[in-house]
Amino acid sequence: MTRSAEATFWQAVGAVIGIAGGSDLGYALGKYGLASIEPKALMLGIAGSFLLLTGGACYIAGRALHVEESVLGSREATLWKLLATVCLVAGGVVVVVAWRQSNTLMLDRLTMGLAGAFSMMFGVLCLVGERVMSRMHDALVANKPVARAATARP
Amino acid sequence: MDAARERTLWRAAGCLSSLIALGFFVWCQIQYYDRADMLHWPLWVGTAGAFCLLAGICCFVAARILGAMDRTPEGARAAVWKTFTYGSIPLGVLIIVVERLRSMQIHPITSNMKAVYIAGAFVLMAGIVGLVGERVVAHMRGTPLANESRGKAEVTVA
Repeated sequence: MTRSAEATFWQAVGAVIGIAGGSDLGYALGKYGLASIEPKALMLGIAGSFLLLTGGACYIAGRALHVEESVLGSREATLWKLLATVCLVAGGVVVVVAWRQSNTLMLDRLTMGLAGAFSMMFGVLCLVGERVMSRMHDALVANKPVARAATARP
Repeated sequence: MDAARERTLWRAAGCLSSLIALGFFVWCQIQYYDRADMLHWPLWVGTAGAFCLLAGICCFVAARILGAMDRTPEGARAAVWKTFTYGSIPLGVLIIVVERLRSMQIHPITSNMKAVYIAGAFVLMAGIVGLVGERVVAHMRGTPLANESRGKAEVTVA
């Protein structure tokens, strides 16, 4: 399989898995409400979060493989960094809040902590992906004569 | 920051994250080895360790991809990565399926069931991250880089 074809494949797989994960979380939210600790709701939530993480990893890999055909612009790189920062900070806050709560059920705190940790993990994936994409862009595109000429054009 | 330095940085971040994960696991074993009355705490600590380990694996995969761009030879590490990747995915599925067959219910009731399902999902996720990294590395090793083709072109012109 060529790189471009495989990039499209991974992006499509990532999108499908991500949509499945999002639908799963939406279903759990609609049926059991926000932050339910019922076993079924918890299972659906964890499965949906894992699916979202998997979809994110596949999509980022596809985007990285596609970096030669559709160039990584500085705005896109900034957006990936921003997403990573938001996920890391928000996840960190949720984990700390869950850790410091002492008057609620342990399972409730575990669920909150899991949600924050998933968010942080997604942030790590975005950060790693952005760095890899940026390096791949430098290695595959930035030094090419055509790219340099295009950059030099007013 | 140049690519070699960034690769070292990611590798160091991976080592640090893995060590923290190891600390969580060891602490969990020492503290809660024979205590059945606090089942949610070990689950907390074990899950935190698993997240740290997964983050560490992501960092190692990033370092590996950067190494492939520098054309750093991998040697035996390539085989280790392949074994890890193609072993983790079936192992993760197996853990989930076996627990499903053992407990005869998909929704976990006890903390033990939750722990086993989550462990299986983490192993599967680690395998998927490894697989994605493996594919990117394979393509990077097979592609002439821009500076390499420029060097070749300069040699041809000379």
